[in-house]
Amino acid sequence: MNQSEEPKPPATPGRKQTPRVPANVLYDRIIPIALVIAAIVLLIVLAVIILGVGQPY
Amino acid sequence: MTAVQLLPFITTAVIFVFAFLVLRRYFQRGGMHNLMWGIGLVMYGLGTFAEAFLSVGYAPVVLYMWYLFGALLTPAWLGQGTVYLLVRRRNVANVLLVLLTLLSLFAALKVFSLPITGSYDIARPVSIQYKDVLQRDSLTTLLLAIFAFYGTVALVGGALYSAYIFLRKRVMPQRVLGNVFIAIGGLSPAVGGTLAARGLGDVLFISELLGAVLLFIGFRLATTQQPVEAPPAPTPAPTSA
Repeated sequence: MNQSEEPKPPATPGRKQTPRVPANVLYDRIIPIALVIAAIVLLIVLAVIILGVGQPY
Repeated sequence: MTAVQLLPFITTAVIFVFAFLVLRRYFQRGGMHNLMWGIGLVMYGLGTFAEAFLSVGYAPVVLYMWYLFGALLTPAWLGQGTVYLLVRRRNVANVLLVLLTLLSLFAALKVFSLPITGSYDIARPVSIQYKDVLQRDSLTTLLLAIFAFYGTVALVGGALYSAYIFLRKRVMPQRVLGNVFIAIGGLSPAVGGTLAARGLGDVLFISELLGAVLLFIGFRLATTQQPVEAPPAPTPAPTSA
């Protein structure tokens, strides 16, 4: 049996394995940009809601 | 009936399936956030059902229902689910729930006492003509702003915050993606409602359908167990036949 075929040590019993975020374009570029745009839209919506108080709409 | 007026029928079907899944999850696993989201989704569905009904018939009680659930209560109750998920102090979430319940009851009494004047035309979307039929006062619009502000901050802000935290820690990729969908799904009807309140009623129905679908996808992504790489099985010892 060569080195690459050796089984990895088993995970520590009783400890959950957490899925890790993979390094790719989706998580490194697209999602951060989407979060920033969504945050900006959120602020605009909230501003419109606040400014609209008392107006006859 | 225009093509736009068909959309609430589809939205209602999507939302009630979604609500059923969330409430089933609550009865199986518990969790106040599931209950709040379930209630919020039922309200969402009642609002879009009222919209659908108002494109084929008219009854004042349905118009009240549309305004109460569709415009006022839904975002706040969905947001309350996120509050239960994110606020660590349970008492704070409970106090907010009591306030939300009391304010919702007051809003229901207020909305159902609003005078209705003029005639309702079922050929036009309710989001375009409600201001001419339902005579709202400044207190009603203040309630609308309070519910919209609380719900949007809690639901959309909470989802953005969760996505940011998981992304920063580089864990739970499906939950990151799910929260992005929930944030955009929550923003969609909020933007549609804001535009409808300013005279662009046509966009409300499509924004509600888009919101329902995105929230549904986000919820499924965020709550589905993501498989992790299982440790390799131990090599079986050779056996002699």
